Amino acid sequence: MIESQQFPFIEARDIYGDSDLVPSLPLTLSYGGKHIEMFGLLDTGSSINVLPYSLGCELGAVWENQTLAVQLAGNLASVEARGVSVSAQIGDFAPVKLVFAWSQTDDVPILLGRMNFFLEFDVCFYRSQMFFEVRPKSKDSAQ
Amino acid sequence: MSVTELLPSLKTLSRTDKLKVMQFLAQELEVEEELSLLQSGKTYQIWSPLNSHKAVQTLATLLESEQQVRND
Repeated sequence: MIESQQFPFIEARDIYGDSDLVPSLPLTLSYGGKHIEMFGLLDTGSSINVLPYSLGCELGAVWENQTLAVQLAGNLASVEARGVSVSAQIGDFAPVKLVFAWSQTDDVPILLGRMNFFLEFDVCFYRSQMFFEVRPKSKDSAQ
Repeated sequence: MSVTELLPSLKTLSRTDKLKVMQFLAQELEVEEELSLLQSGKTYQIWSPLNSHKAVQTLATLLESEQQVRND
């Protein structure tokens, strides 16, 4: 049985200075030999993973070289995005490939959404106890 | 209508109707308290790109092609 790992909800402040506790997952993204540690917001409402522009640049991705156009919806509908595939290390789990819509804006955090973060990991939220639990998908799980 | 005007009318109600009124008021208070969790005039940020079906397809294709390259 694959072990799960617990992570705390993290305090975040909005632009008005109000604080909130959010399920931000620490992870290391690797791309082209570069590794960057960051936090991704677990967002079951998001269809896809989203990578803000400056973080993609920090990873060494070049906008002009990413030719796969990705059409976003919702409040990011007006933002241009391109597909980028990145290796992600979470906790002590084996690295996985995560595909991101690399968006041409920094007005968004890293979003970990259904395609494909939640295809790779099962998550249980315990907000009242201020932690969440992450477990890699089991090999015999339904697709 | 003020409470002073209302109370005499409530007194005339049957036991069943009084219970219904109590239930109604309890529900009203609950709804008001729930709504007070949201602050009037505050902007709540929602970033989630909901229903990005085309983006899902595009990224799924990218993932598949990467997996194929690794398997080759």
